Amino acid sequence: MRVDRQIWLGAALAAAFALSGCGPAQPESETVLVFPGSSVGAEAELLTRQLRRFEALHAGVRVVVLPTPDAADERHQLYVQWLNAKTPDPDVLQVDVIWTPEFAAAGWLRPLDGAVADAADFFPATLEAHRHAGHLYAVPWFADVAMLYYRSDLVAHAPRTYDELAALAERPGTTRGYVWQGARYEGLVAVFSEVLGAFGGNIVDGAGNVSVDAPEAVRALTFLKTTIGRASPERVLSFREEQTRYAFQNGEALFMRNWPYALPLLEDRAKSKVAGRVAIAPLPSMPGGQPTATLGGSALAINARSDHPDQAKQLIEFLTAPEQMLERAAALNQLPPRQSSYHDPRLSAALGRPLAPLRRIVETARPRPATPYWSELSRILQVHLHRALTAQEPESSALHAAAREMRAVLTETQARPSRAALLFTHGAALVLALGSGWLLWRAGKRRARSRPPVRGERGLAWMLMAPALAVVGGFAAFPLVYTFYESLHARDLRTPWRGHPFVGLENYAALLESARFWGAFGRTALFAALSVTFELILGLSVALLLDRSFRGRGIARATALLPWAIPTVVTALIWRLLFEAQPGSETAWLTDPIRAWVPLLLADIWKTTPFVALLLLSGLSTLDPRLDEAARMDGAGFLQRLRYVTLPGIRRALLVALVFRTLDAFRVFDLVYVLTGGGPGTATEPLALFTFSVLLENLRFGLGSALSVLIFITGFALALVYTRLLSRDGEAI
Amino acid sequence: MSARRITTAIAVALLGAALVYPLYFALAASLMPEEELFGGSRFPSRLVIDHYRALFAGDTLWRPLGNSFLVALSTTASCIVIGTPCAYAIARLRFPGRNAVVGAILTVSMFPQISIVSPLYLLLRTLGLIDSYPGLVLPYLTFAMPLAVWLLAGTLRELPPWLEEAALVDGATRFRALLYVVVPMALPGIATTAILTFIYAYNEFLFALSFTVGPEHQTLPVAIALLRGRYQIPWGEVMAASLMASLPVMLLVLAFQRRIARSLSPGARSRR
Repeated sequence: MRVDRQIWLGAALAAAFALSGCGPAQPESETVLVFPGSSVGAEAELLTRQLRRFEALHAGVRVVVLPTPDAADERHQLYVQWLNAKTPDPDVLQVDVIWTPEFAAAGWLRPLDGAVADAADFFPATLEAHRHAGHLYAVPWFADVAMLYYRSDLVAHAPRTYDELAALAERPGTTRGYVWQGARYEGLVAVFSEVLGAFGGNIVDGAGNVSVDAPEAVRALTFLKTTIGRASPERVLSFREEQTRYAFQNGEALFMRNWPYALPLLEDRAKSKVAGRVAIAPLPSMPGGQPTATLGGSALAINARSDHPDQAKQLIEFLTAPEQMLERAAALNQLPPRQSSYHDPRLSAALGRPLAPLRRIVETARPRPATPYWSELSRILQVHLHRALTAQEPESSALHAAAREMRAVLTETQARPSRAALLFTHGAALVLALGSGWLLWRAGKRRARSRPPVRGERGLAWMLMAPALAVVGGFAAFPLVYTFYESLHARDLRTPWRGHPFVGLENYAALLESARFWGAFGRTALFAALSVTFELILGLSVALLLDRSFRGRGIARATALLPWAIPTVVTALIWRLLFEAQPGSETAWLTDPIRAWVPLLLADIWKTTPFVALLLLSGLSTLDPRLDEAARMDGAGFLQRLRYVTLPGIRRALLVALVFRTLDAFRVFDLVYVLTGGGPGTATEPLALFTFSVLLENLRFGLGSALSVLIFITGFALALVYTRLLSRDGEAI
Repeated sequence: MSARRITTAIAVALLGAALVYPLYFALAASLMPEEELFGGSRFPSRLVIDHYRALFAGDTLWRPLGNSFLVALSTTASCIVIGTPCAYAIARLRFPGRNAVVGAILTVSMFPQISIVSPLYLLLRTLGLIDSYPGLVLPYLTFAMPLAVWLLAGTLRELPPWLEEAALVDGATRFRALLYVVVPMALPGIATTAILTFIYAYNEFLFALSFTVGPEHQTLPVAIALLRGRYQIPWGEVMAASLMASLPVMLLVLAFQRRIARSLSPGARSRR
């Protein structure tokens, strides 16, 4: 026995060794600043060049670029995870204009008051966006200002109003149309707020109240909605910046709303069909409103936990100096946020155009509301705007729902669930508790009747299982219990100062009252039902086919496993591209609430049917062929033999496939996350994705935990039913 | 009979096309100029290797690939080392609570991973394991363990009990019998389990997305999903990366197709 213990100790150590990843060693003589930045293209080249110059000026400081995605929403999520994990890296952060208040309120940024010597030089709007509670938290790096691009060869002068714009865009002709960013992301909110400004409204009014349900807002959204299919192609509902640029650059549109970066690319004669025929203007307005352009762009801030705040500050000063901004403007056409630059002939030379009109455009820029909750407000608005634009919800009710949800976020108390909902949840909890108690009691009784266990093997068995149980218990059972605990508390990681008070079943009640929850629940069930049905039917056909003998059967079987083996992320990307890379065609698959299901289901079916087929195939191979032969002799047709011989014979394999597939489909995440992102609107959002957004995008851990528990209960109930079915089928698992 | 052969041939051809076309499309997309791809072309007029060159030159592939392998291999090794004894206990020993253990393990394998992302995040944050290799391996182990134990128990149950009984009679302890008699005999089954565990850990996305924060520890699926420019997705490069990422698992599957198919179908096996 002693020897055996030693062996196990050794094995455990080996496992521990295998587990302990080794971190890279840091050189200690120099200060290393970590700076998250772009890793692709001209942006990366420029950044590397400037950082090398900075290092030359500051001996003993090295700047390491941490490659990050450039897409704003993905970067935001990454930053939230970093900062929330309280790591001292990265030191310097590249924050979008709309993030500063959020990060500052959470205590993640170091105040930068006094870090900008010449604050008066910056356009006031650009600085304003980075102030929170009276302190400056980030220094503007470059300004992005939305503008109107138009074809100077086809349009005499830029339209002054959106009505004029729509009328021109609808004018029959070979080149027509107005393209803008209509996908469900921050860009859509930017476009909407511009039209809203033009109609004389705003998202949050001067007094800080949400005003997206005002009549102007309904008019603005109705305007956008009516352009779809008329002035604008349906495809804009999946467009982000680059798709709009491609459409415009290929001569498929008359007007485009976009940022300054597109200009040099459109003038590139090698790639652009419209070079030399592009003009820019401020975005239009409407009577009673004013031309409004969204202020975008980045600023630089310091991680509150950085170990090298002084060097970080030096880096920020260096990167935001006029020289570096000029270089950035020349390389990337990103506009300097400094007023003095617009009197500098070098900027005019770098951009290759006169500065006065540009300055006029920059001055129309309006920052989005500065609130720590902007990300969450914007996401609410994105969902409802997109739902309205894809005709899942009337404009007015979409905006009213959005306003209601946004106000609930801002009043800092979650919307109190109604008394009925609370009563219902408490009742349901009681029934669940009693039910599971009864099940346990019955299970206990049944076990007491089973064979008496052998005493001597007990200790050994537990010892053998201890490591596995420890891992499973520690990283599955314990977290589950903890989730339950959290679900009874209000906890929001972005507002740590509010603590996490006990709130009973309020989180559950709030969920049961939320339309988004029930929508996600229904979609999950629908997805599971549809995909599993298709997969079982197709899988059975494929299995019957592969069961025949033909040349190359081995290859066919091996190929069949390929889709199953490759990462789901890859599957999702391939299918997304398959449906996205179809310009010219007006069938916009991913922007139609119903048709978006097609790529999703196809991808899942493609990936999983072969797996189901193989499960069934091995069931088929155990069938006695003589049985089928006998049935055939008796004159049974194909369907009869299938019904009375084949299917009963592979009953168990069918059941196993059904169990695996339903449970998998029920927790579908990767596929949807990558393929449709849950869109358009929320048309394809399943439970897992909804939970992910509540938990890791909005960091509402209390609510997210309640959601997790509900998913767990549903999944568990399914699993229970299935295990009973399986064990009733005769064999223990 | 020949009619049947023709229908079979047609059906097989259709099936093959359906299986392979998306992969072909990914390959074509990774080899053609982007303008052409978005021009609707499915058959490149000329092949460009720019996307692969860009991919190989940068850090976008190698670092995550290394991470993926490290994490998947550690998970696999730990899973086999820890899971085999557990499976043995379940397959061969009789003790009170056995059914409870089997039930608990099965439950874990069935519940949705999203439902423990939040507490795991908090737990790992407390342990300082966010964005580290153990921070991925430990959760993976938890979710790979049930399947591994299930498969291993199936394998062990199939072995003739008289061999280890003989060893026991000869005076070996259960441990020695397990280590020197059972494990060597079960090696094929263990290998298949290892392959499946590897594929699971290599492909996992949700935990990798939630518990890593930067390219230093990101695994390949996450790196590919996040491979984006400021305003666009570099589709050519993404497809190139996707194919490179799929290559290892595709090779594994092609090499061990028969075993994998067999081990995934317990119903068939136990009756054979």
